Amino acid sequence: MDVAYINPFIESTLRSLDMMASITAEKIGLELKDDHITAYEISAIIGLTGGASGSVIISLPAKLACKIASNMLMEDIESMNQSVEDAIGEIGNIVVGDARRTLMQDGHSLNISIPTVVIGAGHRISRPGNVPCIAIPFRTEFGDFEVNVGIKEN
Amino acid sequence: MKFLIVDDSSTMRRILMNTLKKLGHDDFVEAENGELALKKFKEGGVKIIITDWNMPVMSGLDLILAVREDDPNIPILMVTTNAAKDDIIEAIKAGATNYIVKPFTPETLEEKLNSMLQ
Repeated sequence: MDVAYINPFIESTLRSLDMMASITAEKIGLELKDDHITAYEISAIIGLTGGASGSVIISLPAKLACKIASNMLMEDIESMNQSVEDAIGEIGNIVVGDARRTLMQDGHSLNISIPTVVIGAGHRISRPGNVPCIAIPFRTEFGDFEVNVGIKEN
Repeated sequence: MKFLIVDDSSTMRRILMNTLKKLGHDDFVEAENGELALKKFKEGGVKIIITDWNMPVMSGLDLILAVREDDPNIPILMVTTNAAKDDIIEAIKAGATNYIVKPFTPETLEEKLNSMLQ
């Protein structure tokens, strides 16, 4: 994987959470993702096509997802519901869209899909084995979350 | 003043409406794509349009082009992740009055809306 693909997603995650949800996040690592099992309760999956193909998966705990939704919508949401699921899909769309903008300015061509949202503790998301995936863990005061970027140039 | 809020994301429609409520407005119609939005626009009464760009069935850009055939003056704000200079030029040429790029802060959205409401 071209490492030039990773930084735009790190920056767009930090920027999108800050601007859209007033949540400060901190990157706490970077690692090759071997396993498929996520430790969180909700994931937004956004497909990538064009000059590269793969997917970006943003996985979060329910508490953080509710806080993101509450702040984005300026409403008080304390438990998982359709509004939270929609909000996480939208924040995934914004993160990937913003990263795409940076990548296109750098000469990479990418199209992105409509987000799919998966709900349930311990859900397992399978990816093609020939697409390398980097896991980027982040920390916020409402819990840790992870952005998985799996991309292979075409 | 009636606003037409157009986005395939229900979350984004709510963000826009909640921000407008904070600014003292409460008269909205919503649509999840450009085609439905055009129907609502043609029913009459809409004074300002806020639209996403990338939507199924009919895009925000095509919506703007269609609206401008009937009304060259109605204020239209485009809200999108498309932020390349060429995209902005294309939207303005199509007839968008103003443009805001996602992600945005609530303050930036309020500024753009206030500037269109004056």
